[in-house]
Amino acid sequence: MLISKAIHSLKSTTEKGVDVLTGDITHPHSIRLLRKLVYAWFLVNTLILLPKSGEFWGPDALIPKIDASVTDKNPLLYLLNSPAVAPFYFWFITLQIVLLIAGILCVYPRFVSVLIYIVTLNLDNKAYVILDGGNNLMQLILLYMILMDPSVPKNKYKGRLLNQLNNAISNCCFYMVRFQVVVVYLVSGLAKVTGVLWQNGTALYYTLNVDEYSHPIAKKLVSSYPVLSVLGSYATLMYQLSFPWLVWNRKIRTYLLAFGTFIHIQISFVMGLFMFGFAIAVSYFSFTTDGVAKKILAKFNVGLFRCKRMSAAE
Amino acid sequence: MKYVVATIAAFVFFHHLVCTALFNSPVNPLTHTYQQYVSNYMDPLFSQKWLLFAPEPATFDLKLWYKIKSNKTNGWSTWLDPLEPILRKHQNMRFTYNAKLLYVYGNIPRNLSAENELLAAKLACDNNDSLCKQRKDKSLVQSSEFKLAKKYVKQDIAKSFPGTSVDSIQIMIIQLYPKQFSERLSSKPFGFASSAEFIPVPFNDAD
Repeated sequence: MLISKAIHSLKSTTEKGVDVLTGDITHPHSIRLLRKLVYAWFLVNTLILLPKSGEFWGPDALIPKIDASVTDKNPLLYLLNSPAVAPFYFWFITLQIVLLIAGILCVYPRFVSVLIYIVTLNLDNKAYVILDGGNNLMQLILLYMILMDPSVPKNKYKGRLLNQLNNAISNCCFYMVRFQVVVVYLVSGLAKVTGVLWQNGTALYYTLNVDEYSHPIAKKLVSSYPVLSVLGSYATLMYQLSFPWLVWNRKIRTYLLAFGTFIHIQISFVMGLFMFGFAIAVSYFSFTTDGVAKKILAKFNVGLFRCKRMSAAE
Repeated sequence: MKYVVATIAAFVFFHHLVCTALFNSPVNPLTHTYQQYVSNYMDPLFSQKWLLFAPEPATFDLKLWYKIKSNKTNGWSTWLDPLEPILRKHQNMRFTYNAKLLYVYGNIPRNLSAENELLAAKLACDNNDSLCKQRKDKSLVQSSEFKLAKKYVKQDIAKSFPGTSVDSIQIMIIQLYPKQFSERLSSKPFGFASSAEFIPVPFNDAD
């Protein structure tokens, strides 16, 4: 009796799981919102670097060449490292900007997402010394987004094999983005716990005394008020260690992400890691519920930003 | 059919999840066993590193300084920091290309320092062995890292000293450590410094 009940319960749970995975895309609006924000992040990043593009991507950039043993493995992603292609770097930048705008406007989303990935990786691999954790995270999300379907399936396709497969892949990739953000904090948090300066609360003091990651005012403040360094170091540590567990709790999530956004905006402006702070803040949008994402999209779903293919659901 | 689809998708998802977890885990018996497989799967598309100021944050500035001997300087000039103006601009305005220019130019002394240490370890010159030291200096000057540093310095000279006829340049790499936390209110500008001065080289040569 008990065994048959357990089998029945297992069967019904499996059926529910299968339905969730293949039935529909679970977070269609969150996917669309994340997509627009990630593309917007890359667009802003490229536009900021544009005035000095030659110093980052030009043939005479002061960036050491990557070893051929690396570039030869994936030549499609290292085109700009070839001397024959290098002088045409500005075409890559132009193409990336055009594709990112097309991506934000939802023009052929799947096809455009593949092109964006290839062009962006080419640019990033050429100027590899300027990349940080933010670029790494955005590149990974870009890759997952190729497999996430942002469009609304027509009813006639519902229940068909390809539609089921498409839903399953989209849902898995969406959850993978969330898992990826969790991994960032888990790995970084656990590594920090072993650091002496993080343990004794002086990590922030030393970081803010390194010119590259500081500001004269912040340097002065952290030297005059040791409490800032101690609280800041411990708050960062606590946040990174608790994020992987607390972020799954919907009641706490909003407060947690708000606090995280505050930390990362501080990293952007005080430490000067401008695009890194915003990259993490953008990745937080993978944790928005579909309802909230729908409301945010509705506010921007006007004029050029309106995605016709998706308007049925928005 | 949906069961087959769900099973395949769940398997692929789970496999990717486990590989991501193992790729990022600290060394443990599992990572040791599956390292080869996981690396082959994750590299290069899913390659990632999330230390983010861990286990210790940055604790020193590594700078490239140079001095010039020219018709205007009456001998050698004082040491000059080519990155200083960019750093100041970056501190005044965060959302500009200067943030990433710091990475490009900051990478030059890092690579040069690594090459210098590599050569020092390789040749292991004795303090009194001047021939060995000359060999090391020659190797370093011929390295791609030094040539890149020289190119950077020459670009900076062209911007900072237009019209100056420079005879020679000398490059130095300096590590500046901030004041220790306990002496943070003292008036000294930094805690301590260690430097490596390289031999002067002619401004105009084949490089």
